[in-house]
Amino acid sequence: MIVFIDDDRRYIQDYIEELRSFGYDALQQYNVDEALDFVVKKQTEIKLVVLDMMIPSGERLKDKDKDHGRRTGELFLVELEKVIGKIPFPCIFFTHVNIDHLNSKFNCQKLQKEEYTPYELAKEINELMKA
Amino acid sequence: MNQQNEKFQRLVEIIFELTKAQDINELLSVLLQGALELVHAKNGTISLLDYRDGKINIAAYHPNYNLTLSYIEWGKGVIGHALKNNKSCIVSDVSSPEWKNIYIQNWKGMKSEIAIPIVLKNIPIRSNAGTNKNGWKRIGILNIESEKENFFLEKDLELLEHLTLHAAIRIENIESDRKLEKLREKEEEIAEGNKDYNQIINLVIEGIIDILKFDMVNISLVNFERNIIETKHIKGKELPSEKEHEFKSRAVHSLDSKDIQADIVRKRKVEVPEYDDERFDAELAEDFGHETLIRIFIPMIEAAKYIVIGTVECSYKKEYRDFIYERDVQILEKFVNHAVQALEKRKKYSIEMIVHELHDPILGIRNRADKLLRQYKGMPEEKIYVCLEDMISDCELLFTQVRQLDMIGTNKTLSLSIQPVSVYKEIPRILHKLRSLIRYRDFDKQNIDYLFSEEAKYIEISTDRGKLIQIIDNLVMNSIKYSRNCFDFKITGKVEQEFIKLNFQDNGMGVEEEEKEKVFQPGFRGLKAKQREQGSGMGLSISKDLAAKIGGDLVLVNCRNPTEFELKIPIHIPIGEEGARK
Repeated sequence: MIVFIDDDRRYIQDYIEELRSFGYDALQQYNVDEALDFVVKKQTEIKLVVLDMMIPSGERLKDKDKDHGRRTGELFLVELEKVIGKIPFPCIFFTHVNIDHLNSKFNCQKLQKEEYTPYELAKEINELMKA
Repeated sequence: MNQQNEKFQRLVEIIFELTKAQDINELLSVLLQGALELVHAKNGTISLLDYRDGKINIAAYHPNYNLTLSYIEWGKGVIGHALKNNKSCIVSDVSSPEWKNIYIQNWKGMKSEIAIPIVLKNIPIRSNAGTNKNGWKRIGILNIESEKENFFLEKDLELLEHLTLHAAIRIENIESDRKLEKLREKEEEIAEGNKDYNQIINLVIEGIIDILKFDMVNISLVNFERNIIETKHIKGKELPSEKEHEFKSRAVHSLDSKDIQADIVRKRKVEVPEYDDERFDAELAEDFGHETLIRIFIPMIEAAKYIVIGTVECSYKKEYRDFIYERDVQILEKFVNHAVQALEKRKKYSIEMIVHELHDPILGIRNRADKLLRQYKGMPEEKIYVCLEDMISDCELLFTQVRQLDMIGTNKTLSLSIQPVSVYKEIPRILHKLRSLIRYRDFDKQNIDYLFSEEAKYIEISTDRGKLIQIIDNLVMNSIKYSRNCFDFKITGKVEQEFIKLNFQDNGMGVEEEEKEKVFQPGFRGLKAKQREQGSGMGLSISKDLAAKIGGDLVLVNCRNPTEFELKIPIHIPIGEEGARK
């Protein structure tokens, strides 16, 4: 299962559809709270998480310094690690935020949304999954 | 003669001690003890003038018992009398006919008194009447009393005047350093990244009133579209909050008028006009009791583009301070510039947020075009139609965001493009453009309702169509974005007097009661909204601003169940001289 964590309700669906056409089970979670509950529950089924750098904070991150929202993706992974320990699946930051400035403690691949059409991302993920 | 020489020698030593005092309390203590010693007296006070109410507060006294008063009213008693007249006086007998009605007893059994105003002399002042002018500034008063009649001599007065002159300089320096330190703290607070527009403005007002001790602050902003400058924020003891609204509604002036604010915008320089300057709105000043104020006007200049975005007017009563002091002008100018920079920075952040949001519709158009290119041959016609419809919605989103950027980023002089508009006909067009956004949320178009009175249906108003559409666009998009599972959206329209009133209702997540006052602040986003959706927090602020630019208003009527906004638009838009006082 591939999980997108992104608040966008229109454009991510195209990526999901394209991944499904490649034969993957893909779905979307929209904010930190929903995503954390889902990922914790389904951790053994998840093969990959694709998350935006900026996602709605939910209740769990409401008091954290999120740098105007630019660190919510990173903080999501911090919270996830607190709950499940070492994260057992790869994660990709897929974002509009300028990733040159991204200084993540997590060894995630960073992809700019504007550089990947749904088809190109599906191909990229397909190669990653095969590897 | 020798005794007098010794006194002068001691005077020099005391003056030297004054220079070493670290804070105001230490300085006042040195001054009082020194003065008592010089005239061989036991009882004395030093009082400082509170510029806001004219109270002369006793700040140091000796001996430290049986003092009956903590302050003296302006002009009352020997102290108030001497300070008001800015003239030292010796009272040889407090019960004499000349003084008995003036004298206020502080210690029992006192018979004579000497009062020396602590006044800063020959200090630079700012005035439109001429350059390089000097003035004076009352700081407080030294008062010494004796149980004996005729205790004080003219030569005592001479010595004490020397002493207070030096003390005045030292007090002013200490106060000035303290003021600068507090302003620096305020500037740091202003510069902190998380401040929104109104918080910055409030901090500026607090700084000017609480630290720089002005009685009133009036921040007027330029409305480029309507070619006017209008009071947007005003605070001061001379203006009770219930009269603020009336003042704001009257303090609107065409940028082409001879009004002082408009002139400051044109000339881009600080001015301290004379009280009878013909550029003042005399009627307004009289009605609000501003004729007694001494006023300074500072242009708010955006450094990056050298545009005057408004003016800051600071004032105080001419009674306790006679001038605007050059030192304060420089401090004030720097403080205002700092605040304008913070507002610019805030604007830059808002632009960054909108630019971030621009990516989404561009991504949508690119991805759908790519999909059509790769798959159109085998694609069912219905899917092609949906793809194209999505691309149109994305273009509409882009237009909205680009218009927002234009509003925030350029500050350019946008003229109004006025034309006849049927609001009733525009609403379905807007909803149609946004149908794809509604579909993606699984909302039903059937739940959108619009009800107009017969008069509202057929009326054509004269307004700027583009700006009106942008406001309605923003409100509808917000409703879609923040609606929960069930979308229920209603627009009603009616004509009332010279306005058309549109009411927008939805059953979305709404606004917290405690956030009600903030929803129109630039960049503000409610806690729940932040948790649920990304956004720039600029939509409502821009919409309210746009409504004002076309002579109307946008208000939040009800926080939730339903969330309700009312948009009021004039049937005929007032612009330039028509919409402003000349």
